[in-house]
Amino acid sequence: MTATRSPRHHGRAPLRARGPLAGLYSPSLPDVLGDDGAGTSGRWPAPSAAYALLVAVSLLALAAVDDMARSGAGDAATLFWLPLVVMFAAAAIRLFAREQRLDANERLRILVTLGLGLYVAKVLHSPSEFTFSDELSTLRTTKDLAASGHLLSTNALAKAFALYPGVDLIALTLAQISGLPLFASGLILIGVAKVVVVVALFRIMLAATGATRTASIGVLVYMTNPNFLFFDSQFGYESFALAPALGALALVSLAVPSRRPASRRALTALAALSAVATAPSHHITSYALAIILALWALALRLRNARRADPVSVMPVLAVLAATVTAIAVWLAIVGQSTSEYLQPVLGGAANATFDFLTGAGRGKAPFNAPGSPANAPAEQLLAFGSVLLLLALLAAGLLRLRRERPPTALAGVLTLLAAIYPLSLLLRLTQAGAETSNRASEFVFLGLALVAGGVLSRISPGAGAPADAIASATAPRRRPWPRALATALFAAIMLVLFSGGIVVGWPPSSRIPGRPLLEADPRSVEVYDLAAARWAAAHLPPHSRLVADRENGLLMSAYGNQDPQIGAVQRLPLGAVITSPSFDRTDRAIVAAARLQYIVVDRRLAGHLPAFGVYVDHDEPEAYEHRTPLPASAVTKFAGAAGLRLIYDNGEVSIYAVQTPPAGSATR
Amino acid sequence: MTARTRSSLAVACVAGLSAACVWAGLGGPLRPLLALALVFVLPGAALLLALGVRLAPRDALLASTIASIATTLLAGLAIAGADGGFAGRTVTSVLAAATVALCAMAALRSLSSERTQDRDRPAARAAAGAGAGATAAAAAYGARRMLTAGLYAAAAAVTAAAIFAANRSAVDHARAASARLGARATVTSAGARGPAALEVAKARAQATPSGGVTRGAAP
Repeated sequence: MTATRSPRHHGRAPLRARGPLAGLYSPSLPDVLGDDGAGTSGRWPAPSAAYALLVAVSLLALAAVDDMARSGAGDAATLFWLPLVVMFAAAAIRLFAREQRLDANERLRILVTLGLGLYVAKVLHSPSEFTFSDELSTLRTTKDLAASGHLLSTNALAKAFALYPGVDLIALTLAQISGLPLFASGLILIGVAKVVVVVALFRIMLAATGATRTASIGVLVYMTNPNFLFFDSQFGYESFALAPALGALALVSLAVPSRRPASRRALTALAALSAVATAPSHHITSYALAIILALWALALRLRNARRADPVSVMPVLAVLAATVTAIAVWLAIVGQSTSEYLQPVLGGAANATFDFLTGAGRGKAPFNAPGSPANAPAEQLLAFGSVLLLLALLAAGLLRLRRERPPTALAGVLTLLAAIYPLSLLLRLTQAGAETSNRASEFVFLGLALVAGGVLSRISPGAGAPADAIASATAPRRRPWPRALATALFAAIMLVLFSGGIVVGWPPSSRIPGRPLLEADPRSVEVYDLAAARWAAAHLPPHSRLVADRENGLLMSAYGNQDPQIGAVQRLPLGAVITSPSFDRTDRAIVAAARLQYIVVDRRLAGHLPAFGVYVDHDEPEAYEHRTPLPASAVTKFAGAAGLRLIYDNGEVSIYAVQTPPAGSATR
Repeated sequence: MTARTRSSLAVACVAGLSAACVWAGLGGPLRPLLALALVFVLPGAALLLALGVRLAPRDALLASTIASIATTLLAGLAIAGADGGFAGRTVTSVLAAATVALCAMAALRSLSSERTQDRDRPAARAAAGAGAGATAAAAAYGARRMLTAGLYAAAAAVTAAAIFAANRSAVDHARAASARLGARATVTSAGARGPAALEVAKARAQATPSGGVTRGAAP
């Protein structure tokens, strides 16, 4: 197979193309009907319908596992994997079918069903309220918008959340006009965004590869990214922003090969609209969109210079211009706040990694959280296995592409993205860089999906399978493997990538519900903290400045409508007020400087290590390095302290009022 | 009347009716569905019709959903940025008005195109002629689809059951935890306010190792 057999969808060739593109860019009869009800080969019921039932039954089993976990059953952590493995493996086996055995619509239905199934798996974890930290911070911003009707409120714990209100605006609109609670509206919104992401990814992969099988395997690889199952299913600004961003790319990928100028202009306009909506939704996502579009335009220009059939670059340039303009306008509206928020995170990650590589800084030991349940050895093995497999697949794809150029401009851009993956792994070697590396997954996996998907789709192409450009360029030519063996190998690889990705991206304590843990986000949302937060909402003036441990701070913000303060003031960490063994002069200086009005104390801080490494935040003394729990005096020191008055106590959580809050400087 | 005209009128009618129901608080259990259509489907569909974009159904669905989300977001942004502040009803009005206007534009363009070209009429006649045959074919075709639709329906029902069961489990466990907390509660006397009441409660709480709940007062 050579480059001459690559698809012509980026040229001006007739859209009703033969081979892999047939019926994809122009309405074929099954497209017009929407569905023939029987799949490609005339079998009925359609394979996707049977698969949907399998996913539903798996979800029922997962609900039972979660119930066991809430009751404290020890096996739940292991059983958790079974329903997920069943639904993912079944999809992988189905999508591995030869191109002509499964049409594009069926492949897309299976992918959407899997995407929704994985989303519902997250919903089953917390089916009655938001419990993840980003969800609680988003909830606070949405409630502020509902209360004030105006944008850009103050979110003391996550400043950037209030500056990018896309998810809040739509969730609140839906809640107010449907009469549904904000919780239900948020779940529906992220569910819709999830479907859009899957469909848009399929369209993008299709534009890059020209083959439905490779495209569907690529989307499956994308779903193995460490954030897909939980992080990107949260009610949060990034989970939402991926939909308009990838939607814009998908619409551009439709516009570029369009032969009718009117159609191309219309699709470009829709893509620009979607790109503009990304700017006020999430900072990094909109920047990533702009970078991908810029690289795509450049790649198209280079491609046009080499080829006789130039492709219109205008759709890409127009959407790029709209994206950059929207980002600039939004940055002008929100001021310097975005850079103030991002600079410490990204700069800290870069500095820590540099220090580590030059021997000046300390590294982060993987799977080392003393206060949290540990990953089982098999899970750790899966995590390392998934990373090594991805590196091997990337190397195989890149080595092949070194001899044969990427068949499309978009494929070239995505390949470049994939090449960032090893660099992103370097960031994981330090505490400061680990989160940045994890958050890069959504974008790096766009490239990995293409390259790894191309290699994997050639494990056994099968006789008579249509050629596709990426697959032909990324895999060695050899005789096909026996079908069953190839399918088993493919499914095994996909399962290692999928389960390893989950282990890499999400701590074991947060995968399933269960007995409460200290400072472990979803596992720390329980009745005492909630009771204190709701009391604060009812009895304390809103937006009071207070200091609390991590979880009580989140709940005081989301449900108590208070403003917990974190970070440092006058170079003194606010967290020290909570963690110090006595309420001394330094603590009093911090309280005064931060103009704190209340102090929230959880008795359970004494005697337990924080699951996520911090009692308050990363500025506290010994953050991520706690080896011994706080002493009892740390939580009893406020009783009887001069200038403090107990105003609430529920047995575990107490609230003290600072009687004469002195004036001081602001916190960060 | 062309298919585009009919579609435009249908989308405009649904948008208008949905907005009216939302405004009047009508719709009962259908109201969330109407709201979903207004937020996720109709504005984008109107935009596609107005722009005259022709796409395969799955691409059209993707494009209209993305366009709807973007339109709703930008409308919300403009309204929240205005002096009056954000209100779901205002967003509804803007979305419905924009949808109806875009549909009217699409219908007018389509009608004008029909007058000048009159290309759809033979197609419409052919479609009408084929209607009877299609109805007969649909019966057989429908039976074939029935099993597929049934499986999807069963999957949806089982998924709903899973969510219901999980919600029941979470609520039951939370309720049990609350009951344990309530059983240990030491509540100040009704109407008690101020530090004295709190100190009493605190003292009582400390008297029992398990602690207690107070009803404190704001300072």
